[in-house]
Amino acid sequence: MSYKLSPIEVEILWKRAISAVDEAVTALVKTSYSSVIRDFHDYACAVFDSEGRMIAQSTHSTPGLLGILPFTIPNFLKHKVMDQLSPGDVLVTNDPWLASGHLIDITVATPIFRKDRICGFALCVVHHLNVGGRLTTLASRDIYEEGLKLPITHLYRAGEPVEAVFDIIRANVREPDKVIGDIRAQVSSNHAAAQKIVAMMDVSGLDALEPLSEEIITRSEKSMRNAIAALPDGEYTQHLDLSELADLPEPVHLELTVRISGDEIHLDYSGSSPQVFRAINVTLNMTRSYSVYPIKCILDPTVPNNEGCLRPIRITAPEGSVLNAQFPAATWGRTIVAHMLPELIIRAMAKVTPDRIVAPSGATPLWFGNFAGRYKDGRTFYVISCFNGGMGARAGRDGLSTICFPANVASVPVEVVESDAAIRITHKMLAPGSFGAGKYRGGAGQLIGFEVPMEMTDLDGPVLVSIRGGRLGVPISGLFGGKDGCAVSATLNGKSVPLGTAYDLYPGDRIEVLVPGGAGYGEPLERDEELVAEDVRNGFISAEEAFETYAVVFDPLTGQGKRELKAELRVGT
Amino acid sequence: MQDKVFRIGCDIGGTFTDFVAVNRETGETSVEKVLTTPARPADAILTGFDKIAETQKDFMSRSELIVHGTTLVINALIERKGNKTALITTRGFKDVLETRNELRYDVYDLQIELPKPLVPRALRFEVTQRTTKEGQNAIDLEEGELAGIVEEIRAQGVETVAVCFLHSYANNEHEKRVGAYLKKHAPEIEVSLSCEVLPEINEYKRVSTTSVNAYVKPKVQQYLQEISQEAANRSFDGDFFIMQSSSGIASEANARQFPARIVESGPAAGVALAQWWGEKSGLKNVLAFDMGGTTAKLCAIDNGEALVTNEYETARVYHFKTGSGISINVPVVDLLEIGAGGGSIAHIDTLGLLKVGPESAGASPGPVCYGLGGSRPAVTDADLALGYLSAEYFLGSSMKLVIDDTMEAIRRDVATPLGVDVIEGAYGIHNLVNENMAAAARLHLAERSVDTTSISMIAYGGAGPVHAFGVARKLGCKFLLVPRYAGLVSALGMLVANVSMDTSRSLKVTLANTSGEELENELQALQHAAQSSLPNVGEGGVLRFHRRARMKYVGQGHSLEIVMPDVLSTPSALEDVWQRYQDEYKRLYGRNDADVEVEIETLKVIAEIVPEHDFTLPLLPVDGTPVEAAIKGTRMIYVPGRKEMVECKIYDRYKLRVGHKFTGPAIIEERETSTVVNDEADILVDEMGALVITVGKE
Repeated sequence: MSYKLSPIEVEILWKRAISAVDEAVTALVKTSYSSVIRDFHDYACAVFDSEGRMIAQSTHSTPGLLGILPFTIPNFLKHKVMDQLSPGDVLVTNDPWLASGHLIDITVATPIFRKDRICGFALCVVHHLNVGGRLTTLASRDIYEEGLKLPITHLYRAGEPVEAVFDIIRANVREPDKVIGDIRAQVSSNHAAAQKIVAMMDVSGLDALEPLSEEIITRSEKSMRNAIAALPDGEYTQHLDLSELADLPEPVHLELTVRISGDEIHLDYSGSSPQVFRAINVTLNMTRSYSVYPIKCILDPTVPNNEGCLRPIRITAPEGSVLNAQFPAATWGRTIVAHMLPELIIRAMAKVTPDRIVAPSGATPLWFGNFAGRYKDGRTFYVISCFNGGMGARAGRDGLSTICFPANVASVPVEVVESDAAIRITHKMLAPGSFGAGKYRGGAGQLIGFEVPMEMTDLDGPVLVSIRGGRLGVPISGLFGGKDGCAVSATLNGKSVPLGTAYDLYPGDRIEVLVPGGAGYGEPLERDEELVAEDVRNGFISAEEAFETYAVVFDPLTGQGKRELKAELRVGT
Repeated sequence: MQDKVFRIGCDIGGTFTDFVAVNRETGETSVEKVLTTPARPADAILTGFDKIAETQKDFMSRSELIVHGTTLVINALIERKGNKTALITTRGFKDVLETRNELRYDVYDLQIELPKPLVPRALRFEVTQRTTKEGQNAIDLEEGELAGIVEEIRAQGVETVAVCFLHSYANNEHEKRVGAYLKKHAPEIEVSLSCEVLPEINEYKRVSTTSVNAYVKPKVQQYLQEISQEAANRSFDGDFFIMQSSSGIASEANARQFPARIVESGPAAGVALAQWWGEKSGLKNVLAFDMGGTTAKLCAIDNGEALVTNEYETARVYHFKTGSGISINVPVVDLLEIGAGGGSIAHIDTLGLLKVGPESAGASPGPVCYGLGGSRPAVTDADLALGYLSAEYFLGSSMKLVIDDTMEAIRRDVATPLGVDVIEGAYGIHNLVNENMAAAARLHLAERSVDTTSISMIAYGGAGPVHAFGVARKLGCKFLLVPRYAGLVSALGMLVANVSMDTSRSLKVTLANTSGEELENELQALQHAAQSSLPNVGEGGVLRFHRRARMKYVGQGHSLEIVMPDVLSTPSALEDVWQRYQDEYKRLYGRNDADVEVEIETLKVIAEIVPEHDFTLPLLPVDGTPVEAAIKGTRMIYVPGRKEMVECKIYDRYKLRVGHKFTGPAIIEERETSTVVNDEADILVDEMGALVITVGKE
């Protein structure tokens, strides 16, 4: 179609395409069994034109799919099954290198037919309950330990299920009814998205999606290029070492060089460690997701994600490195490494865009606990619960307390965790002193305790508790004179224990975890007196700390604070 | 003694306080609008009563009923002008109010903020106690710790206290004991117990809702006291009711106890009217659409019943975005609020594309056309440029609109950057704000599994009827209905609502692990609790119970509300409940997971007093005047189907009569709004005086 869309038509059709994918996932979220869908938002629905260019992606999806989705349909299109598609065909894969980086994400793709021709594709990715293999462990040495792998293949042919594929899935996963229920919901979601896209084309008189995708991609690319061009050219390097990682003898080294040149950015991870025999390896598509995410947040946050946003950003990592792991690397727990990338990138960009960044966060990488056990009557439970640290301070604002970053995961209410698992949460509170001081301080982290109550006599064996989190030996470093967030601590019955492994808990056993707060930004001596006083009033810092760190004298009678610089800090003395 | 014949509906809005008084014997209707008095809202109410009394002899003494809706609570929350509040909670959990759900409500904006908790950390107190999920007393309440807390609370000048313990929905004994202690030792302090405000699982929602209740309680008590006292001084001795957010009405005493339930009383009354009007017109599936100066509100009415939710937030700090406000989890009509109104500003973004809102010009300086200093084009400006509004007859001629500056602003900020002419730019704004509302509505309805193509729209509010036709077309609605008194719907809605009370309790039990008797006992207890907070039924009314359960498949997060059978103690009752859940799930999602166990999360009872005689509105006169008599002139308006300005007829709403029929394009003007039909469409004036428009395809 040679017809050129007007800017007003582009805006309306673009909005409608996003609305189509957002509507398509509503039933998926409501009918899913995977709490990773509803609480972790680890799902996405997207639509593509017939050439495989992504037009729109569902709004509430995890940042972890940002750099993955635009490349998934192009990967499908390279496969021979795509040569002859019929209406009613549905395809599936969970290949980490072709789709989304670990086996537990299953991707379903559906060609969109209109007037007997393929006009585009709908895609739905979901993090499932399980795909067989070992459960929630970083110890896997290769991908074969991590469960069932489905190459790109038909799930439905002309509307009929391919029974062999369903049988293979059923034979290989735990709780197959629920896993297959969630896969069916993905198929329905794609179907709904396809219907809405066809209706949009019918109403607007659009014969093909390409003129729309061309406009969306070109405009988004230009917007990102303009934002990059506004930055000074330069080269910035940063590195960090994950030294306390899954009992590996050597630290995992991450190295980054950011090159800003004209209207392009190159993120180059040369010098990073080789892939490891543990389930923390990151495929390049996943590296791309958590690299694009901070760049987009800093430079062009409001443009809805599509291929155009990514074009001016080049991301490279050496083949076989931990950030571009090759088959058969194990990848289940890749977020442990990938979640550190935004921090690495932001620190590299700190001098370039000091007004738009976040200091390192105690919430990074994602913290969560798994609680699994069995009662004497045969019932079992398996509960995931998230507990976040504080976010780093921002230029002009304190960090938010107990909030997820860079992932975005909701905590499960204490009363719900206790109802579903034989666990009591003894306390869950903001942790005073857990954040770094600064002109703007980090958000507070939390102190949380778990116990198996003494009266739990109907348990059959111990409760298996595994807590993922910790900073892996990386300090939560303050920026521009801001102070560091506190150190991580975890105790079992009062004794310090490492995180990332599973513990057997019997009635009376207790675990307590201090999840750190965020780092500070700017000199503490420049912090507003009233904000210091408020922190004292609220019990986040003591009056002594107010004086020692911020040089603010707190008056307990009035509740006010006044800065009184110590003699050695006074200017001119 | 004279008969009491008047029923008064009275709604406080941002600008005006509206009154509708109906004489139930003669059907005579008096309406009144007075300016809202934000410093002392009761003043405007009394002024209104006095004004109506000028024309109705012995008005107040002959009134049997006042139903009132107020913005007092929502304003106190938005402006943070509630009472000084403390919280008493389980040791180890005083920060639940602040840690919320730990989620960022916007994934890409690193600068987001969260609302400050209503109770600061220094006023959140912990006591030693622990109740288990089964309701057992694991650690007894250390009552000895309360003395010190009371001392501190008094020293700090606290006026009101929220009490919320973990698992108190399962056993409320400890909360009750703290309540009794405070009543005895600090009788001057108002107390809100979470087991009474919201006895449901999820500690954040329960503590947030209870804190809201506590935060506004003294303020609401004083306000209601003032009004009922002043009304009594004017010889009123009838019933005084308050509109609840659920669209049922509550006794004054109940509203004083649970002010968290009246947050959205005005919008809920609008929805009540849309539901009532739809029912009278034979429309069971309706989308109520209200658009004002800064926001639009939508609510679905499904099979004759307005959808009600307990997932509600107010005082959002970020573009009306879910997650950025204060959580209140008592029943609220399921409103979708969008930052789209007459004042929403249009601009070109970094993509070179047109955007409308969420920034708003507000009432001051307002859109460019108000001539009050606004310079950036807003939705109302586009509506004027397109001929949809009259420069001369805006708000019944109380304001003359400025055209030249308006056209120039649209040209400068929208048309020139986009390379289109000014009318095309103006229609871009009108069409895009409609698309924004339609897109939000589609998602809202999809989440509730409501099919937009079987739904009709009922529109009201200042800008609602101006944009309703365009939005209805985008959604595929068949009919659009614009009721009479489109500018007074909330006040009128107060009069059609029934007295009702909602009660609920979390249970969390699988169908396999419960019995019909157990559920029946729980429901009976809830019925009893609901009934006891209703006024006496009296003559001419019937008490009705709606029994519901929220149910889900074990392992899923989302539950469905299922109507419970009238009797649950029969052997097959639980099978019936199971089947009802499977049927509803299949209806909504097209399939079942019949192998998976089903769980009841929460039981819920709504007790309602249904009057024997329905409220009626006087019909419009049938006097044989032809429709031509209602034409007040013609004007050029933009017709998108023809992509040009077309001369079209302007009708006077007040001169239309029952049975009048005409066709679009047409504009129907009344004091507070204009109904815009910018394409060919049939328009009919029905018996009740509503405009019924056949919408047709986009």
